[in-house]
Amino acid sequence: MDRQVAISFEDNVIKVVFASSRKGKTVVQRTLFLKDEEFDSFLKTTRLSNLTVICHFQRFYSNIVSAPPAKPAYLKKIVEAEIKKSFPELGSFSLFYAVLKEKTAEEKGLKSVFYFAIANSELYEIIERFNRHGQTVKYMYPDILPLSKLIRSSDELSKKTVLCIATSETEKPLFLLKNGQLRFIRIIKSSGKDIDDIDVENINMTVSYCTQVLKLNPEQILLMNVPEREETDPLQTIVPVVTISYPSNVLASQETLRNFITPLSSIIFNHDLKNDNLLPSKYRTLHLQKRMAAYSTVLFLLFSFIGLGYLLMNLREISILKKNINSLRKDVTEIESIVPAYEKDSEKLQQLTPLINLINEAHSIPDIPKTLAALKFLPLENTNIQNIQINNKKDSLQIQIAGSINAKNFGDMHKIFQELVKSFGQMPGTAVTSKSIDIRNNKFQIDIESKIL
Amino acid sequence: MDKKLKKNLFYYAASALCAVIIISGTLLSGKYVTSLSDKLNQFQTLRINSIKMKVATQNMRTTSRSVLSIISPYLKQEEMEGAILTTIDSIKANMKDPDITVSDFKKSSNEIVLPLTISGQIHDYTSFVNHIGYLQSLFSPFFFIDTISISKSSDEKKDDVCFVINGLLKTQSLGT
Repeated sequence: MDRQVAISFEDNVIKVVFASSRKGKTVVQRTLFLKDEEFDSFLKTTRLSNLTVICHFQRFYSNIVSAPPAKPAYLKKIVEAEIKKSFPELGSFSLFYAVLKEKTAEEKGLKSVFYFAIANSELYEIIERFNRHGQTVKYMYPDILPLSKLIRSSDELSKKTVLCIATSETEKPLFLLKNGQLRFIRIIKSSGKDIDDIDVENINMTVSYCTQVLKLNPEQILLMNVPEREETDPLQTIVPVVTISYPSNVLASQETLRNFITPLSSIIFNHDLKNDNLLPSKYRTLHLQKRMAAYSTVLFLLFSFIGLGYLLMNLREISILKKNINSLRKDVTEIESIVPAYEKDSEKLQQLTPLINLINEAHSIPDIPKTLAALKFLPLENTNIQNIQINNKKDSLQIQIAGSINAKNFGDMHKIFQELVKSFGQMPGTAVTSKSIDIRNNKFQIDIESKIL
Repeated sequence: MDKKLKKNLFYYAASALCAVIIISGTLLSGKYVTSLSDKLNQFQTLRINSIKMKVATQNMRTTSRSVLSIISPYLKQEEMEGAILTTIDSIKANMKDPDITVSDFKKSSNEIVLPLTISGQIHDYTSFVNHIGYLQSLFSPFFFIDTISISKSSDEKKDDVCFVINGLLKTQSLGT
């Protein structure tokens, strides 16, 4: 929800509207009429955010100028140069401008631009009043601008050429709109809020001026903030008079709408008006600087809080670590006595190492008696063992058995030899690596590897 | 200068200073935490190592004690030579006068080796196996068997079985 405050300086009264906009609907929350002397205390006591100020300027400079086609940034410079040329007495100023939709025949290739300029000194007078109480103005418009947007938004009136009158006790601004765009502004003196004969005469003269000089024929005269007149007493104007219908998307009474139509228009058409902000660029820069400083402060404070959190965590960790280190440091004295003892014993063991290696070597060789005992229990019938050769290969024993077989025939001899090989193979921890038999003289040789430990 | 801007700039500067001090403090304290953690790790490693050293010292003592309880190490080469020769006498006595042939002592730093060959006849296979067991069980000097050869006489009328054991007696001094 977009909350906004609009303050409109009208006659001797200051009108304040607090409203919020959401999804195209504007809800008026509070309205105030303030006298000029009450305004300062109001500014002092109230917090105003998103503030729009609408003023009725006594001295302004407006006209239509021709400008070559250019990008908006250059066009503004051209218009500024044109204003400076036309009004050399005008010092620094702020302006808004609008490129008019149609071109005249002789202005083909050129753009018609309507401008409205105000001396910055006049703007600063108003801004200073807010500054004194620490209030920041976000947007500033002349009263006719939000009202012109009101007509532009109307389907019925936006295509017409209309002369609008916003009445007040002291002055009556007349402004001519064509296709919803400002073309001409005139301020006439007023003797009261109602429209009298002198006003009618002034209106008719203005209509004639528009027709003859500006070549624009107002189709209607539009009363902006005047109660509807009775048909029995119509105004004697040369073009018909109508009263504006207020926008339906504002939730407020008709009386509120009539009394506060200027500040309300600035709230309703806030998005359309942004580009026409009259605030001096210096003030806007100042405003930007203030905001940047404020946001940076918040950011730094945020960093500080996060940093502080980490710092506290670190301090806590430091205290725990120091405590642990101190408790471990006490053990260091004990460690000092361990090292010499270790070194002494290590040296002693170093001396014994060859002896230990020798013992280990002596006990790592295979068990020869066990192997020899196993050989004794083998069934060696019909076999005559001639020679047993045992070679110690450190991790195993290479046993070579040679002998002869007593057999009647070759078949028996083969059978006995196979039985013999089988029995050697069945010895635990042994494997037959090679075998051979010479059938001519019945001699055999079997190589066995034993790993019996 | 605008009053509010002045105030905002003051708060900006103050908050920036505050942030710089706090963030610097945080970074420094972070580094200090890291260095303390490293120190703690070193102390813990030292403590673990000291426990390991304590256990290792204990183990070394046990090992040394065990070794010294098994064998009495010789301090001089003469003692080792004497021990080897005594062992040969023991072998002779134990194996009932076999033929023992020895070659020269082989000496290297703290070790003395004496190669020898034992030969003889096998009257009883069980006794022979027990003799082999006896040779393998010799302690300081140790007997390392290289080869054992058992062979029957080529004369079929004779029933003689001979054996030849090649090996070496080895012993080690403490090297002091």
